[in-house]
Parts: sequence; C-alpha cells; structure tokens
Amino acid sequence: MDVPEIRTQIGLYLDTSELNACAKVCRSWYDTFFPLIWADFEWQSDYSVYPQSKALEQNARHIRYLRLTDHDRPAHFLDLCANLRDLVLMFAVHEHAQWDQISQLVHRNKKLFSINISTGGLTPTTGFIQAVAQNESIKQIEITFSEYDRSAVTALLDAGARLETLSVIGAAFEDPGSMTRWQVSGGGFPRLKSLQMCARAGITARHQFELIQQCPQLDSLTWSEDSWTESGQSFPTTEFCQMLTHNCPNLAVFELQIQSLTDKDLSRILDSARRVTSFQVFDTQFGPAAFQSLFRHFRYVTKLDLRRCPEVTSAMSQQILESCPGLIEFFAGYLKVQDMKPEQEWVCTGLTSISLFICGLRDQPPEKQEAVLRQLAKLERIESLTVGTFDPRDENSRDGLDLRLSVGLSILEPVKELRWICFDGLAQEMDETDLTWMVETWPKLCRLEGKVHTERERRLELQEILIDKGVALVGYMDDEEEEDEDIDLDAATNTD
Amino acid sequence: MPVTLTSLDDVKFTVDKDVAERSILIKNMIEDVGESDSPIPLPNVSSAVLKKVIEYCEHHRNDPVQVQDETDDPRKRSNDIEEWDMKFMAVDQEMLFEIILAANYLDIKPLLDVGCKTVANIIKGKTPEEIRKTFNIVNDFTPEEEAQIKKENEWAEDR
Repeated sequence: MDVPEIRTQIGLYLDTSELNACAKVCRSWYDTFFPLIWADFEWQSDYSVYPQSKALEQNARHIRYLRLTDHDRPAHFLDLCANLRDLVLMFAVHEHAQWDQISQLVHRNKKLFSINISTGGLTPTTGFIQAVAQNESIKQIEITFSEYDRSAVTALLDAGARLETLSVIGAAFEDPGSMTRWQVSGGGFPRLKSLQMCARAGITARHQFELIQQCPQLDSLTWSEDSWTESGQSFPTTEFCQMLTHNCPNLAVFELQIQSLTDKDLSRILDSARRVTSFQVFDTQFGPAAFQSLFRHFRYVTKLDLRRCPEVTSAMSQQILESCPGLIEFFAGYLKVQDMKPEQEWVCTGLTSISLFICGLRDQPPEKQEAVLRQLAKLERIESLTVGTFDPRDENSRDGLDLRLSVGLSILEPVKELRWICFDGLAQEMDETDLTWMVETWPKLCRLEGKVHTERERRLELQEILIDKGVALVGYMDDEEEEDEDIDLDAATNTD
Repeated sequence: MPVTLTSLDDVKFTVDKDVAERSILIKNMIEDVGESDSPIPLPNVSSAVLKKVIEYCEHHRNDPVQVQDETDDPRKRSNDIEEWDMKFMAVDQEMLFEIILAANYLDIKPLLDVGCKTVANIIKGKTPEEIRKTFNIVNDFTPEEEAQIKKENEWAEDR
C-alpha cells in the first residue's frame, strides 16, 4: 500500500506543516516527504522561526516554488537553488549586486517555468532581462509596475516564440515609437494562450493591438485602456471583431477594463467571438444589445462580471441566473425580488461566487425573503456571497436581506462551503444567537463584511463572537474608526 | 464495441470501449493490438478493485479528457471533490489504497487525483502519532533522530 510514488502524489495536496507531520511518521515517509517540505518556499522578514543556514544550504536544491518578498536577511542559499520551477519576486531590488544574484539564479535554473516580477517600480537590469529572455524553459512571464527600455522590450519579444502566458500590468515602456518592429520574429506568439495587457504608459493601443493579432492560440485576454486614453484614441472595434474571427478564433475569456466600450461595441464583440466562457466588462456600457448577443453563449459561460454597468437591469440578472448552467462566478448590480420567478429556479447550482444586491424586500412579508433564501440555499458550492449594496447613497438600506434567525436565516444551513459573506450597505439588527449560528453552521466562514447592527455599541459587543472564532470583520465600523483597529486580514484571506 | 478485461483472479468484465479507454494504459493496448476480441489481461488488479474502477469509469464516461495542466498551483486544493466521488471513495483504507494503486497502474489520472485528495484529507490536521495509528505504521526512528528532525524542521511547523 505504501508506495513512494503514491506518497509524492498525496503530498501535492498537503501544506508545509502537514508535510512536516508526515515526514516525522517513519523513515520511509521521511524520505518521501522531507524534500516536499522545501518544495514551496517563501523568504521574507516576518517569520518567527527560520531554517538553520546549514539546512537551507543543504536543501535549497529541493525548492521548486520560490517566493522572495521584502527581506532584510542575506539570501546566500539562492546560489544553491538549481531546480526551480516557479520564481516570484515581490520586493524592491535596490542594489545592482542583488540583480546580479537574481540574474544568475534565472540563468542557472534550466527548468524554470514561470517568473513573476513585481519590483516596486524599479527597473530590472539588462542582465536580468536577458537572463529571462535566454532561459528557454520559461513559458509564463508576469511583470508588474516596472519600466522597460527598448532593449528590454526587444528581448521580451524574442522570448515570444515560446511563451504561453504573458502578463504586463502597470509596466511602462520607454519610447516604443522608436521600435521599428512589433513583429515578433518567427511568426508571432504561436503558443501564447493567455495575455494580460495593462500597460501603464508608452505603448499605444495600436501597438498593443498589433501584438494581440499575432497570437493565434489566444484563449484569454485581459485588456485595460489606461495606456491609450491619453492619446484620445477610441477602441478599434471593427478591427478587434475581425481579429476575433480571423486571427484569434479560440479567444473565449475576456476581461476588458475599457470604459469607452459602448453597448453596440460589446454586442459586436460577442457576435464575433466563436464561444465566450468568461466576460468581465466591469464599468462599461453593457446593455440591451450586448445582452441579446450574450444569449448564444449562455450555455458556455462560467464567469460574468457586469458590475457598474448602468444599463444592466434586474431582469437581465434573473435571466442569466435561470439560463446559464455552467456559471461559477457572477457579479452584477442588483436583483429585485419582484423579478424573481418562483417557478423558474436558478440553473447555476455550481456557483462559487456571487455578488448581487438582492432588493425590493422593504416592508415585504417574511415569505418573500424566505423564498430568496431558499433559492440561495440551493447554491451548495457557494464560497463567496455578496448581497449588500455598493451604492454610496445606501448607508443603511432596509431594502435588502435581513440576516436573522427570526426571519429565516436558518434556511441557509446547507451552504457549508461559505467562506466570505458581505452585506455592506444593509441595515442589520443581528444578535448573539444569529452570529453564533453563523460561525457554528458555516465551518469555513472566515470573513464577514458589513455592519452587524445599526448601533455602534451593539456592534462592539457582537464583534467579540467573531473575533473569538477567528472570523475577520471588515467594514463593521465607520471608516475612520476602523483604522485604529487591528484586523488580521491576511489570516482571514489565506483560505487554504 | 465492447471490450473484455480479465482481473488478477481471472474474473472477466465486459465494458464499452469508451469506458475502458478512460484508462490510458488500456487505450494504448487496444491501439497496439488493433481490432480483436481477445480479453485484455490486468494481472495487477483484483476483481474487487477492478469492479470499483469500472464503476468510476462508467460514471465519468462523458467527462472531458483532462489535459496535463502545467500551470497547476503547487498547492493543489483537496476540498473540491464531487459528491458522487466522495461517496464512491468512502471505502475501507485497504480498498482506498488498492484503488489508488490501480488508478496509477491503469493510468486513470482523475481517479488517481481523487484518491490522493481523499488520503490527503485523512492526513490533514493529524499529528505524526495520529497518522501512524490511522495507517498502522511503526515508528522506526530512534529518539535521537526524532529530536534532530524536530529541531531541523521547526521552521516548517506553522507554514
């Protein structure tokens, strides 16, 4: 029964402390699990206990996933890492010597698959960029908030032929006008499947567009408009639609943070895409025309984000909930109880995340709320539930759900996977029994957002129950007061 | 077209080809042999286990074939087991490990994953002594070795 190969497979699902326990079981388990303890390693300044230097040096070779965050201790062990698969750099690299060490690291690790660089706005050295470009095993690159000059961009384009994922967020490119080619040598990005193009400055919409057109395998595109609004250009809808049909037929995941997209633009995009599985168009003018075009994709769609789109109606939200069986994440504005149809159940029972201000409940008989709660209770996989309102005019709305046992809260007993619940903007009058019920009935609950009671003193009393159970509480006070409170959000957001 | 599989203890099971081909090993064997009526021998799998494996493959016969996903997070989640699979895996420990070994041998990755996640969930939250009791494992460390290991890996305790 106890085979090393199987133990290694099992180890994939255990965290560091669990692997540590396994390594102590017996000798054969030690042999299997000990290297795995080191496989996922983070180096930062906040830990209370660190590995001994000798142990670090001996075991650096086992590290596969390395995350370097702000640290004030020298990291000599980096020189001994040779088997990295993933490298994450999350700190401001000030010194040239540090860049050299990291460049050597990239150079030495011939099995490096992904690299994620977020160096606080500081420009990587040429040596580093070249090490990244020349390491032929790197298939995923994610860059955040850095400045890149022409040679850096050229080097990145040279790596284009083998990249599968490229993510450029907040990066600024110096003088791309001088770039004579945006053409990637050897026919574009033939393997690129996922592209996040959210440059801060210096690369025009047209140039970005030229890059996207060279990605025939593209299935996922995140595009923001920060970089071209300055020059007053509008979204090239016609060319984009042609590109969808001719150049990128597999594009199914869209995240378009582009405010200027009109209802008509979005409709045309949805018509041109062969099959859409994810459509995140937060803060655009998505409306009736785009909604019509979305019909065809209802049976494929798994993720929809239509928040802050003023033309999205309650009826549209209802229709989505009753028509999209594969939906896993759904975020929109609001859903009026009057638009919910008792005979028309929500088909998306696999939903894990929903954000919808369910309203129209003010002064309604309790059966109305009970019907809503029964519908929510069918979402047995739900992990994140947001039923509050983000409208700044709603401070204490009584139009939304009332989360108390006396009006049917216990109907939500089946949602055992629930981790986050948010009822921001809603007036609540919860008491001890309600909150105790929540923490006892939902074993994975780790975060609550909203005011549990309209009176401040009551909130202070009630929050004890949550703090006792380690549930993070956010937005429970008015903003100014909350600054003084010490809430360990990190503990709550590490849901693994 | 049906396919016949023979277990370790010589029991014959007839299944549809698409069900049998959830096992990459069997799929490759069929391709190599070509059209043939002769049963496929599986000398490493007993009939009790093979029966369970076939049950799994039949239930999942229409699942899309999993593509080897290199972008997987090193810390894979083990709390996303489907309800049917959870009930399917609610067997005694010996059978659980037999299923995992069979899934490994027959190259049925989804079944291997679900089996390993199930064992991982059993391990989670347990001390080394509790793990030994659960799996009937003897502690073969000397007290000195145990102290050494504890000291060396103290840093890993709350990661």
